Amino acid sequence: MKNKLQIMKNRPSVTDEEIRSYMNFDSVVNQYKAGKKNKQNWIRNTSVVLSILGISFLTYLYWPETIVPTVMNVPSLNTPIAPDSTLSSTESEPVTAYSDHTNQESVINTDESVSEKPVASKQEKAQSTKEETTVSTFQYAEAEPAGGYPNLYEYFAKELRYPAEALKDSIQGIVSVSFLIDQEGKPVQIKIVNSLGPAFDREAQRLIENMPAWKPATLNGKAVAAKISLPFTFQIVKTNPERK
Amino acid sequence: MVETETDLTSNKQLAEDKLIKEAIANPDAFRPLYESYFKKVYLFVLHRVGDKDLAGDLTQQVFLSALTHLDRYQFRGFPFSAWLFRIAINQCNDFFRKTKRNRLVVLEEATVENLFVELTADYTIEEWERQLPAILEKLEQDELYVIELRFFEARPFKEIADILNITENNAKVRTYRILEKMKKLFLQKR
Repeated sequence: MKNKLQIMKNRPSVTDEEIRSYMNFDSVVNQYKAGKKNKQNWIRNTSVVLSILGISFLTYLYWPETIVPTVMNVPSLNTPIAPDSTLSSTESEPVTAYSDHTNQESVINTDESVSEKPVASKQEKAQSTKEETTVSTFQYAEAEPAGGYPNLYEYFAKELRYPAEALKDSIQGIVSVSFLIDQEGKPVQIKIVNSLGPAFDREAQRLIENMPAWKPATLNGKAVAAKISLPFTFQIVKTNPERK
Repeated sequence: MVETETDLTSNKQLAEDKLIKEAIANPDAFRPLYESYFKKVYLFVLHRVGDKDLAGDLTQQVFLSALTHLDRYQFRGFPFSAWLFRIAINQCNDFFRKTKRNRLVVLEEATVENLFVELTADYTIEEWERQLPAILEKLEQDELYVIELRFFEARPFKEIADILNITENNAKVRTYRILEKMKKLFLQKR
């Protein structure tokens, strides 16, 4: 059966007044306007959603991994110098270069909780690679942390925190700090050589100020101030557990 | 009295065309068209759905749909009313499809005569009257509209053609093919 039909012998009788009572042009216009508005809203909402999707997709493409901020502390340069007063000539100044002092300790810092990656045995290796060149007439011993570099790095690893307020800006980079280890082994004249912003500078300064005591450098057995410079690398390390 | 769409004078068509163009930009300009066609569309719908309130709702929908798609209407020789009836047919078809309600066919004696004049060469009106509901049910939806528009509502072929968006000749050919089909169905039923 194509059509289910109901047959009526007579037309339904309806008066003109009845028909008039069904007329409501304003309602048609209102529905029309509402429909148009809905359509516009729909178009607007759809375009907003689409652009959000597009942006997220592009972000996903170009920033495929989730971001976990970590702090890397890379003390790579440590150049002690004898204070001016004790030097007769800069040429004769003993120079110590740490060619490979790059014990990278990364600290995954999420919501202020700090977890450490184990500090590799590299540190010992790093220490052994120190080259010391001394000019014969001077007996110079460089300044070094009282507890040794490995302990210092451990301290940095533990304490260095990525400033939470900078996380949203995804700032990464190196803060270079230079300071003097005075005759008493205390850091003085802390200077930010390379700044990443106040929050990072404060954090680097805080670490230097609170670090364990140092053994001052000695020149011919006498304690002298030595300039140390340490870079702190603040890095957001990308890790994505789903992807390799 | 059967509602028929009289030929619009070209002046009236021009005026309507102007109103339609205005209404595309400003829906309030649609009011005169709404008022002059509401009754015709209402009756068209009522004679198919049978319920006055429902016909009122559907008619409002027809005009809303017309207003929404007014930019699609272009005067191409068929009157605006035909376009409205076309929308009304779609509106009714949608309604029957969604609600599974029975479609109403009004078989008034006076109008059914029009059909019987075409059909009853060899058989009596009584026989046809008995068979007609079942035969109409066997027709396609479009075919049923043709029969209704032509015979029960006595509309001219020109208007049927406009409503169904076909040529006048095609409307005539179709009408007589459908009549042939009905005769065949009638003979099978006997």
